Amino acid sequence: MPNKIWRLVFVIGLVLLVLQLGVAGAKEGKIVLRMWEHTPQFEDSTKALIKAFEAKYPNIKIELEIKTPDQYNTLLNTVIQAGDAPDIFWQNGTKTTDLANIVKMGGAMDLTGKIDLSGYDKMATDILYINGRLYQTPGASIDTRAVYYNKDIFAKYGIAVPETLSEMEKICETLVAKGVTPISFGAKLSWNILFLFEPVLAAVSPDWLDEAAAGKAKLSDPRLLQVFKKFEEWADKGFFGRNYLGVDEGAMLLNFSKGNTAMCITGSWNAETFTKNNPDLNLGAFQMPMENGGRVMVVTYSTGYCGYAKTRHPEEVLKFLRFATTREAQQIVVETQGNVPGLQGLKAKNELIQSIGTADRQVESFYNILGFWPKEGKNPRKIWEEDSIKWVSGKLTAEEFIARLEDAIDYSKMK
Amino acid sequence: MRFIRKRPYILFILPGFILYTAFVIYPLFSAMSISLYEWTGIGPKKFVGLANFVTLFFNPRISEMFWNALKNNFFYVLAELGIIMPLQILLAYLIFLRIKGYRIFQTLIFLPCVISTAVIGFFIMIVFDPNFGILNSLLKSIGLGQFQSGWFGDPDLAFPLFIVVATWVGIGYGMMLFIANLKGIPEQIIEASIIDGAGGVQRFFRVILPQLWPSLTNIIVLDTIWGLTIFDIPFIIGGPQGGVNNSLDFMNIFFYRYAFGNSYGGETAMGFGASISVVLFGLVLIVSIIQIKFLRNIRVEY
Repeated sequence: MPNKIWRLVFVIGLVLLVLQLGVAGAKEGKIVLRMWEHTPQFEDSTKALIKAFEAKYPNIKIELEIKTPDQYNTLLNTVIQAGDAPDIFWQNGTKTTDLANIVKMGGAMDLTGKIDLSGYDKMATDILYINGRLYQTPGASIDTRAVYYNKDIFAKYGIAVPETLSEMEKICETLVAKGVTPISFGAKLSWNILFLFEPVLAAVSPDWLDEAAAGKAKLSDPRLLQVFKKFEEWADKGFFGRNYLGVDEGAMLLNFSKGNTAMCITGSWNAETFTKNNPDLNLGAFQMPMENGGRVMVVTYSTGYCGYAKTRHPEEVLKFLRFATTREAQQIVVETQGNVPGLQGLKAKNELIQSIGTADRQVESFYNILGFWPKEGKNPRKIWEEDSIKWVSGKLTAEEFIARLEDAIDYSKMK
Repeated sequence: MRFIRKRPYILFILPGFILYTAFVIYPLFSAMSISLYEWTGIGPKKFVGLANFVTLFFNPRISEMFWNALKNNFFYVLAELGIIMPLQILLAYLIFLRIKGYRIFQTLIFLPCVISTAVIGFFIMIVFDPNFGILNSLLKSIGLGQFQSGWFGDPDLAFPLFIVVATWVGIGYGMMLFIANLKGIPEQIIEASIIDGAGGVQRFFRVILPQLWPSLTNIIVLDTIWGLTIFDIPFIIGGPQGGVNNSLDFMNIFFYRYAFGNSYGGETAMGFGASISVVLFGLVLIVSIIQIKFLRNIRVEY
């Protein structure tokens, strides 16, 4: 008898569960879109964006998956090849080689004529096109690099924000002498090397950057070698501490957030990460000073999202992509992420962000320049991604590394 | 029907044969075919003949990575057979002898085998992270700060450290096989050796070790295959680039980077990736055949 009762209870329970699920499903009646973001640093801003979108379109639900930057594109390529990609995914436009590859695989939805790009800077939209077709939404933030500093450590050692590159180096020497690691650095990913290298390049040789961007200066120019040597000199003098090889981005940011180092030179999008890691951190930021004074800023625009070409819900994906392009959505991202606004009418979150966006001179990204004139079948940006770690670790000399990069550039394509 | 009625065993073989063909034989031949094409994994393929193999062996940049990954696989196999396996035998024998606390040792040694690779990766980070790892903190706290290191970030240390981690992770599995084998040795043989005056060491090398030959041959072949196809732990530690200066790059990571990543001039290269997998398959096949033939011909006497 008791067995029968238990069986009855079990069956009733099962029926109720099925009914409950059915009712819940019918009640929801939502179209669910899968979305991938490439780094935990964008988690908050992406969630805020999704929340605003879902409030506007209550019949669409977006399930967000956050990946890690070192594996993001490989995973994305895999799911595209498997025909099971997320409906919406982050990409970096032509700033990296990934979007072109995805387009070649037929993985990105053609958005030409479907997204309103009016109001956006040409520099922000140029990077969204592959072979003249639009494949992703723009970002309204300037993705620059900045020198973040710990105000308490600066105050403790009586250090003021440097006005020239020499002053910057003097500060680092003082800190090393006091036993403090001046700059938090992690060289496991080529990106972190780039985001440190580019401000040094901009400060030491901004003219070379301008000329190279205009197709008038080569990589073999001694001014570029001088920058590589300056970077090596900083490493040798202990400005980056001792054990930076193999340190990933998360650990690099955390090391600064915890007050273990005085500065961290990284992307402007990391401002929020520092305060999230340590709300008590007394954080300041400035753009790298040039040798003769004045500040210089490497400018690239942020990017938004792509739609999966084979999504089962193209209309809903388009709704999201259109929403993500609106001023309203961009303000959400700029505020939550703490980005430097790159669209007129958008407001910076606070003074820190304003100081990141303040410079006397703007220059092109070195990584971007590398991709301007590639040799057929070669990719200098990819060589940077793969070999910059070898240069930082000392396996390649600066001369060898520059030669490898130059070998992949076709100067005859320069105007 | 008459054909099958006369040969009923076909019905028993068929399900396995179909599954094996679909999931092993077909992908194998498919990979061989894809290796002859330039293909991103989706869309049209372009026949390029043996160009992918030519790139693999003769492009200075790529062949350098290929030989480096192969070298790492080779040294890993050597470490498995030369360090890990002897340790497995030794530990299995000590546990077989029921040394004091042998049950606890057995559990502790086997424990890493049941922990997922992702969790092992997390442990590694906790211990070896240059900024926050226990090891560097410990060294600093006891006044040995000068010995602090980047550990896996140091290209000279990364591979030896990886062997240490792989030993910790993998030692339990083989040890259990050896213990099972040791427990199957008839007691009379061991007693006879004692009566014949064999000492502990002599008994181990002349009686016990030869009796372990069945497990030993299996583990030699399996370790070699595992060693040539390792992926998970070095990938978690070193990422898709195979660590600083490719110090933790292995053939499977190299394959993954090109087949699914965009290392091939910025593009996903399924065709080129397939050529790596074909070479790896050929290598595993040849080494396994040689090992099996060689091991089969060895006659063990005791």
